[in-house]
Amino acid sequence: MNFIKSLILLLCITSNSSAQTSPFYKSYDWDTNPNYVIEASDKDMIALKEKVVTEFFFEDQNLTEYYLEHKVLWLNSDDRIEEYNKVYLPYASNASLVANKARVIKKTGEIIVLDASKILQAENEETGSKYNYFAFEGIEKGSIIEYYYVEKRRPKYQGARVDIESDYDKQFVEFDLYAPTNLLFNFKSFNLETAVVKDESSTEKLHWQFAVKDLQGIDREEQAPYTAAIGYLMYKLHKNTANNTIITSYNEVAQNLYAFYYPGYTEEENKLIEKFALIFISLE
Amino acid sequence: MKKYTFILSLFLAWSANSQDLKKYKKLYPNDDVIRLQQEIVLHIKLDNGTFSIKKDVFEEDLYLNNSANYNSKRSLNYATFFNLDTIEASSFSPQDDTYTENKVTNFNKKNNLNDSFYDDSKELSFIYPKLAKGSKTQLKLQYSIKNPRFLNAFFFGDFYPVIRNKVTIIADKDIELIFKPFHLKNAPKITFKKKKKGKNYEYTWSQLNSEKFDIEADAPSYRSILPHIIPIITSYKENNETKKLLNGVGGLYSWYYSLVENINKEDTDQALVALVAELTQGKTSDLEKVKALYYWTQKNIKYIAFEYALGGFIPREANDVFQKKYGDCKDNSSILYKMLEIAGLEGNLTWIGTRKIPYTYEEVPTPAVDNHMILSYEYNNKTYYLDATGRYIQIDYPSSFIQGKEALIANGKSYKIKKIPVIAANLNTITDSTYLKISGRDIIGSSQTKLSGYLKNNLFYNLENTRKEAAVKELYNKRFSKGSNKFLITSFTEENKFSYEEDFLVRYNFTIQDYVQNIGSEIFINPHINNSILGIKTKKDRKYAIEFDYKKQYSYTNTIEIPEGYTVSYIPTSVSLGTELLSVNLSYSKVNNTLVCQQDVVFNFINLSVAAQQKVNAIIEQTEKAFKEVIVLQKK
Repeated sequence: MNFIKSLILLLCITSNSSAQTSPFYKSYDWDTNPNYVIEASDKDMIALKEKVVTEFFFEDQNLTEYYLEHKVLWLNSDDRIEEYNKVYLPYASNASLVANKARVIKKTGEIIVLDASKILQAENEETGSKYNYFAFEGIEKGSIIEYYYVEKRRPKYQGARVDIESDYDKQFVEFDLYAPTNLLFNFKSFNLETAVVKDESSTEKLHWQFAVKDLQGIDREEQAPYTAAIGYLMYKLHKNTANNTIITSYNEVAQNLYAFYYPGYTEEENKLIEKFALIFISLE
Repeated sequence: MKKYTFILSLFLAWSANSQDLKKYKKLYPNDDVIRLQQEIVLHIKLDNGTFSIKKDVFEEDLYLNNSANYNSKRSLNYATFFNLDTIEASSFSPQDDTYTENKVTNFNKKNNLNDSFYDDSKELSFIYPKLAKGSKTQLKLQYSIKNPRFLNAFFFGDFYPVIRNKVTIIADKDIELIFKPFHLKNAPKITFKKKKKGKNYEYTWSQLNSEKFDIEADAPSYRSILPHIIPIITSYKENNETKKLLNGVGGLYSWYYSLVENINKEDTDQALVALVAELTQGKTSDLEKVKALYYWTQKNIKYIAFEYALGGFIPREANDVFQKKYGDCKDNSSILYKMLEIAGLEGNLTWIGTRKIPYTYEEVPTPAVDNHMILSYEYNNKTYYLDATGRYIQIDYPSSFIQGKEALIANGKSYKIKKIPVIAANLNTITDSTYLKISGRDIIGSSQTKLSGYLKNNLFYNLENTRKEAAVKELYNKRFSKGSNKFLITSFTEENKFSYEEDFLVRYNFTIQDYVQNIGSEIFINPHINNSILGIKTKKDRKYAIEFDYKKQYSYTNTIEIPEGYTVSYIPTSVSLGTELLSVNLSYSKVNNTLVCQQDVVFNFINLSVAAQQKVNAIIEQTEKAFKEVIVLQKK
């Protein structure tokens, strides 16, 4: 834990220059006049859009993360409606949701935006989790549900995963990562033909992006390694170029593990060892 | 305070005795934990017509073996009407001749999201430290009961032994109480005392050495088995005037009525009016109209439960449910009520206790008697019970989990109680017609299986989330399994899938490898390829009744083609077994070049007492014997 704290401090000291811009989510919104096109209407559901945007951002000298998830799902069966008409958004007690919007777009084009007062809160002191949760109103077979939320949280940069494929078809999936100009991230895509690419046109922030179209749903077959078989991305903060420090590496992991498995002795323990050694020597 | 002093002294006397473990281990060698003491004190105060009800609970447990730490985590539920005010918990570790106390200091609260989507129930959990063989735990709780209609039952038996059990009710003398006993004959003697103390009456029940009750699969709910007493406040005095509370079903109903009388008074959403007109257009009879509205509600209003405080009792406005397209049982009933009203028809809100609750309204006229709401509709002297929380429920069927239960039907300020019928076996059927061809050691077959009633509904529920054809085939392989586990469907077609009214029909081709025995010039084939009936046999030492979801009837016609060049040398004798509970008829006949083997089974019960289980088991045993009979074909 101390290691993480000192790391954050290290990142902060060397990164004042990037704190000028505003986080992306402030200008993010859904389309006010949505015009989603369903390409294969014989399916029981299709994700018309799934987007994850995460931004590592210096705020009050601290590195924080804004994590946005935006989903647009077309639901065409009773079963799928019942599966997706309720949304639970868990977040750690030291995190917060800074945006949370939900709406239903009916077949007729009528849009029902969920009133913020209908987003409910729950808490679990045992796990330290909080939940925002809500039920979509007005869903009929063939309706589209759309929601996005932004979680402000302690940054997760030592290896994070974003699932790209699920058990339903998706028309469009996007992932974006923004970081201050001194923080270089590494990416790897699994079971996917597309890779994450750097957006060289971005100047104020570093920006990496990923986008794919028309993904087939992956069946959840009994005893199949579903989680390993679906397409997903992983990323980590690799380097702080401001002080040329490697942030996440096997070297760091090894040091962490060593410290965990071989902690030093306390003063009291050292005294006892000394005492034991003296007895042992006197016996000899 | 006096009570706690008493408990404390009792506890000290007990805890000092480290012989407890030895003593109780000998008395209860097969138990992991016993409850040494359980004391509940209910204080019911009345001040100018306002009730103040507190419930004190004290529990002391002793752990008899090394599985003690599996019990370390405890969780308690509470809610708006049943608030947990205070809690103290400790574990006691045995040390030499005494015990060391470990106080619990960390209690975690969480919103309970498991039962309803949104409700006021909360869970408090904590860990008893250092539990080990010989440890004890103590728990002291105080609850506030916010509504005098919600006095809970007191149990005099549990799923673990209880050594000392005491319940005291201290109630203002102006409060009239009655006590409804259930299954007390299953419990050791309970001593009851009533005495006047100042302006109160004190009622006390005490009991020693109650044995544990076993848990058995598919047994009726614990309320049907455990001995318990339900206290009910029937009336009270306010300024010398008697006020009725739960004075019989009328008292309960008048409270329920006060909660629903003002709903659906706002102007109806015109879109709902238009929808009703569209759905009922061209329907010639009222029943046809109701059917159209009922099926629409089942299909389109999804079940999401909101149970916050009195929200758990008051249906939401039909307009609101219509716009949201979801609701709980009350909300479904509310929109259906309104839709019928728009169509010029009359439905009635109806309260029901599902089969989990064993009481009649007369026995327990309190909110503990029911947990569900539906809409009743009368047509040509028949009552239809419309439960729109499910799907695929045909109008003539109540939902399966309310069969045989009482319905409290609103009728303005008055009410009616009716008994919901148990649907007859011949309305829940599997009718299977199968043609079997012998090919070496294998069977090549084709079937058509027709399902009706609850059997159809259940399959539809499974099919809803079985999306790919391969998965559907796998489901049918299990559901229509015949002969052996080598039964494999090769192709299938479906008719009336997800139909509310029509029977569901599946036609399929299949193979069963290695099913036929060829020895010398003879072929041996067991024609009893449908043997799921054998699964209902219960264990001989079962203690409790067993419950089933519905009555049902199976009819299998298996036609076996006699291979070219063979003749029939042996066919089993027809068998007719049965009682009014279960009947099994097996018959075998040669028709042209085929053998027709008929199996008809009627399961005419939804609940089997232990005695009835013995009768049914006897029939199953005879059926097992009959199923061993084979057909022998001889080469000409």
